[in-house]
Formats: sequence, structure tokens, C-alpha cells
Amino acid sequence: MLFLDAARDTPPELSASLRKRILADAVACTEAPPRPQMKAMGWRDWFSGWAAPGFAGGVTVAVVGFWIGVTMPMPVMALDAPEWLQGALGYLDLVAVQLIGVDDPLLMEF
Amino acid sequence: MPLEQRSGDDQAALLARFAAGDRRAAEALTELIAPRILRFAARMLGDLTEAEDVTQEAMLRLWRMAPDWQEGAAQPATWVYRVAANLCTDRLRRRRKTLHEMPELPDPSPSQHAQMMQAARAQALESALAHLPERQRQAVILRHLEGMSNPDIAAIMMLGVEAVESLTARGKRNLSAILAGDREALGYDDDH
Repeated sequence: MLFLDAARDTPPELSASLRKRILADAVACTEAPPRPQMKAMGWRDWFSGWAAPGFAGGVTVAVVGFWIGVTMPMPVMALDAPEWLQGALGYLDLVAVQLIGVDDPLLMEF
Repeated sequence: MPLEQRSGDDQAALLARFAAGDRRAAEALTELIAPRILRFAARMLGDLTEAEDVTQEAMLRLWRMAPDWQEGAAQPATWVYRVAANLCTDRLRRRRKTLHEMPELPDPSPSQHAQMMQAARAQALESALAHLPERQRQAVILRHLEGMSNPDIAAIMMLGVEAVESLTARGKRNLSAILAGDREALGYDDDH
């Protein structure tokens, strides 16, 4: 097809300015700082970031849980449901009796 | 060896040298790939300034990809063609559709007649290309203007070879239909 021949004979040329821009990009890419590489974690790395606070929190929770479970400190023994919860449970009793005829909805065997 | 004849392995080796910091490899790759990308983009977009931007962007992506280039992957030139094709597609989608008029034929003087006629024929083809569907245009440009093989075009367009053959055949048929009315005006007789 002669139209194609004509187009092939008149191709656009790479201008000096475009060549310069392309090579400037290439130089900029070679001069860019190297990307950080992944490396194997050392034992110090395990305690970096949130690892140390997380670990400390876990230890604290374990110790406190053990202390509560074994010694049952006084503040916990004295713990009782607050008044608002007592009121709520009483209201639940009233509703449950009406609905299912049971006066012990929580099956606490009063 | 002429740059145009360098194989894909040579291109990959040049890219590896560039990734190692060899700027002369960048110059060689630019001479090898950029003119072809510019021709392709200019014919896809019909605008040299936009084609230059596409060429620069495609080559920039090649430079950035260089450190991660994997042996055995597509040829760097094929990869850049694919990037350029996508960039052209993006620009064509963004561009408001404009009517490409056939060029006014010059009033030739005898001394310049042949040269002007040749330019007018090339211009007519560029205008006709703009009327082809985008994929047909890509295939026709790569096959008939860049002279690439069907397997290479298939790699660039991410198609099968049969699909490329079909696209180029339909594209060429459409081009012939579009240009049929201009043959006589552009100095072609009925035999061509």
C-alpha cells in the first residue's frame, strides 16, 4: 500500500531535547537513594516498635491475674453489684415473672 | 552491530548494565528504543508533542523498572511498547473527540511536486489512521509502519497471534476504504 510507504518514509525523528530529557531521567534514577532492603530480624529488632510495650503489658496482666486468682485481695472480695445493677435485676425479675412465671430468671436458686 | 538489530538479550544486558550504574548503557538503550516509541506514539496520537511526552514517560518507567528486571521476561523494547500503548490509550480516552480533516493539497510547483505529494500522502495516511478503532490502529502501525512481526505485536498487545492477524487485516481493509477517495487526488492510479 503506497500510503504506508509514504508514511514510512517520513517518520518523526527523536529530537535532541527529548533525548536530553530522557537521559536526564535516567541519570536521576541512577542517583536516587537505594531502596531499603529487607533483612533478617535480630533479637534487638524483636523489642523495637510496639513489641516491648506489648510484651510488658502481657507480663503485667499475667502477674495481676495470678495475684487475683491466688490471693483474692480484699477489694475484690468486697466487690458487690452496684445499686443500679440491683435495680435492673429486680426489674428483670418483674418482667420474667409476668412472661414465663418464673421468679428466678437467672436461675440463682434464691 | 547496528542498534536496530540488537536482540532482546542485548537489550536486557544493557538494562542490567544501566541498573548497575552504567550511563552509557542508558544512552544505547535510548538510541535503540526511544525513536521507535516516538514513531509509534506519534502515529497513535497524531500529535508530536504528546508523543514526546509519552516517549519520555515510557522510558522513565523503564529506568525505574531496571533494578527489578527479570531475566527471561519480555524484551525491554517490547515492554516499553506495551507501556507506551497504554499511555496512548489513556490520552486518547481523555482527549475530546476532534474531527480530523483531510489535509488541503498543496499547490505544487514542478520542482517540489514529488516531495510535497509524498508529504501529502503521509499526512493523508496519518489522518486515516485516526479514524481506525484504537486496537486496529495499534496493530496496523506496529505491523505495517514499524515492521514488527506478529508474535512481537501479540506480546505488546497481549493478544494471540491470530487476533493480531485479524486486527491488522481489518485495519488495512478499513484504511483502504477510507483512502479510496483520495487516491486520484494524491497521484495514485488505479493499479495501486
